[in-house]
Amino acid sequence: MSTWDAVWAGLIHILEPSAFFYMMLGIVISSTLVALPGIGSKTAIALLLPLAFTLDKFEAICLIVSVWAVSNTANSITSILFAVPGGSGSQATILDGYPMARNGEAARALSAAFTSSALGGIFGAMVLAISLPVLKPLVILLGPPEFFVLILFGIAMVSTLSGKNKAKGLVIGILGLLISSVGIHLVSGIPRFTFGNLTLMDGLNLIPVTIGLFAIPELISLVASGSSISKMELNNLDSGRRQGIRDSFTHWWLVIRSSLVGVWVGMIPGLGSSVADWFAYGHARATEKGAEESFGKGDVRGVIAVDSATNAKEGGSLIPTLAFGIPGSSTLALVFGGLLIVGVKPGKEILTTQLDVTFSFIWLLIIASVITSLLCIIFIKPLAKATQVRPTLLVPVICALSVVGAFANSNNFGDIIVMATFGVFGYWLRLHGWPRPPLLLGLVLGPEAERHLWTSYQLYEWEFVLRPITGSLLILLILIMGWPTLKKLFGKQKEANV
Amino acid sequence: MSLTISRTLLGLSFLALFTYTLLSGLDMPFRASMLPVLASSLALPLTLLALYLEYKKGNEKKSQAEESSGDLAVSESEVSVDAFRRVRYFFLWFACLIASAHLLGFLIGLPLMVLIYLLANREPFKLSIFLSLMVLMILYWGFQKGLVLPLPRGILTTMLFGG
Repeated sequence: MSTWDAVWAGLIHILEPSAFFYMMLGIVISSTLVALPGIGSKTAIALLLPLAFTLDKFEAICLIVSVWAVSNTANSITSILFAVPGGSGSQATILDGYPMARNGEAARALSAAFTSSALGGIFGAMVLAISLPVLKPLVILLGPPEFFVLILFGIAMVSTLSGKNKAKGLVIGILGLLISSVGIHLVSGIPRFTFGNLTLMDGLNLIPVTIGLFAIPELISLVASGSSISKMELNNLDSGRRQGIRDSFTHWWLVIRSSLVGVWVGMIPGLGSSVADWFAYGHARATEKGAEESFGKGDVRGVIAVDSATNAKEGGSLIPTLAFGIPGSSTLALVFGGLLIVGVKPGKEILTTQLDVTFSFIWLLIIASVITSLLCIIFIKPLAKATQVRPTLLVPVICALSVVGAFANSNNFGDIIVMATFGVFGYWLRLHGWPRPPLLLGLVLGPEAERHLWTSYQLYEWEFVLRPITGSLLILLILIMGWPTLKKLFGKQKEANV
Repeated sequence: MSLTISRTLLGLSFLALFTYTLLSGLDMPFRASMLPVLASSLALPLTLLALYLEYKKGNEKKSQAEESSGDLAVSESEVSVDAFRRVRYFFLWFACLIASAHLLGFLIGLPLMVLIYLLANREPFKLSIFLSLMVLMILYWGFQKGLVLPLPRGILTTMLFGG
């Protein structure tokens, strides 16, 4: 299949009526769930995955990818209206979005955020499309040892989410790898860590673990905090929408620069939305005229920079995911896991024989971003009201759906117990500052890591770590993880010398 | 249980778990043991390092706020006495939700527990009924009919009304 055939086929696949319907369903559900307090994109994807598994390949791709691709758009609502970040990628939106809302420009700020989100999404998708010819020969060059180390690299990078104590993130990532090994080993037939339990013989499924690890602790958090943002008043949402849209196009150069920042952050596994928004905001503040004085007081450019970067990041993060099978974030790991189950395997195939699937991702990013932004602009008021739903109404309904979601995966009641166990474990981890995302990444990448490890050993024995690319990657990994400690040590030595 | 005890317990659980996976892995055939042994032998020293760093940091509240960055951070209001009381009630309700799904079946047990939760939290009666019925509709039309998912009828329901 030539590249142009693949571009065309990718578009046709997602414009099929049933696939398009599931894309729209994904957009509506994702935007609504993300707008609800305490329900993040991971919870939304985890709740929708059981539905995706009953669909055909492209319908499932449309549902899963659209839920993920648009999850950063509706995040801005609570940030702008109530100064409460809707997700990790919308923290910097508060700095200028909230002052704008207080000045009576809420609709303008929201429209600018949604429009720049769409433009950022389109930009990210285009960068992904342009990078494909470069990626193809690179991926073909790599063998099992390199892929094994790249997986370790991905897990280690995501473990940086654990803040200053990176060891915690690494421990949790490794725990994810170990959890992926639960069940009967497919090649040797040996049961591993099953304790004779039938549910564990099949291994731990992604859906109950994800629902438990991410949805349940967030619900517990809602219960624990016992508060909602419902008492805060909704600011003026009637006028200013057109102005907001115009602002995004007027500052097109800022949109492009911020999107580039987003794509760059997305391409590096482990640097998530929470970094992209601050980088973009910092860049805009440093480069825009008069920003030093106006930023932080309600400058629309602050909103535009952040929102274009967080959405462009998604296109960038698909580059390592599709090419090397390394999801750059826990949300993408979940998407990646879902895609694996519906038969889409990132790596060589998706860049060669299944190029139409790759282009359907790119088209989805573009079309879903535009549709979501339009819908969000049109339905600003209902979405703003959704942010005010009381937690006491949300918690029991989502808990009930979580139970069915975990069960629907394999029609096995044991999966509900798995979900509940991981729910309690996730809450425990969260309470003590152990990050949960690396566990998901380890769980999803575990089987691939084991396969590559074994093949590498068969080919080169343990000397595979000495191969040029593998060795360089390992040294780079050690340097990245150990850099803060080394810096501290050298700093102390320098001080002592002085 | 205080936060310090709970935190220590979590760290010790990790150490125990990784020791167990390492020892079990050593008993497995080479091919099946490769990943568990490699992962556990890396995890054990890393856990000790993580615990040492945490111990060194000392200040409980400060470290929580810092370490949670990237994941959703725990707020002050979530670690108050009141918050833990609410969480305890939630766990109790959640256990009952799963038990009722098992005993009464999904179509009766889940909407019933949703109703109980809403009424216990003093939500308006009509709204509580409406939401419980909505859950029932989603389960029946969305999952049982739409996704053709055979939702279990529950042990008690089957005993009383037959299979």
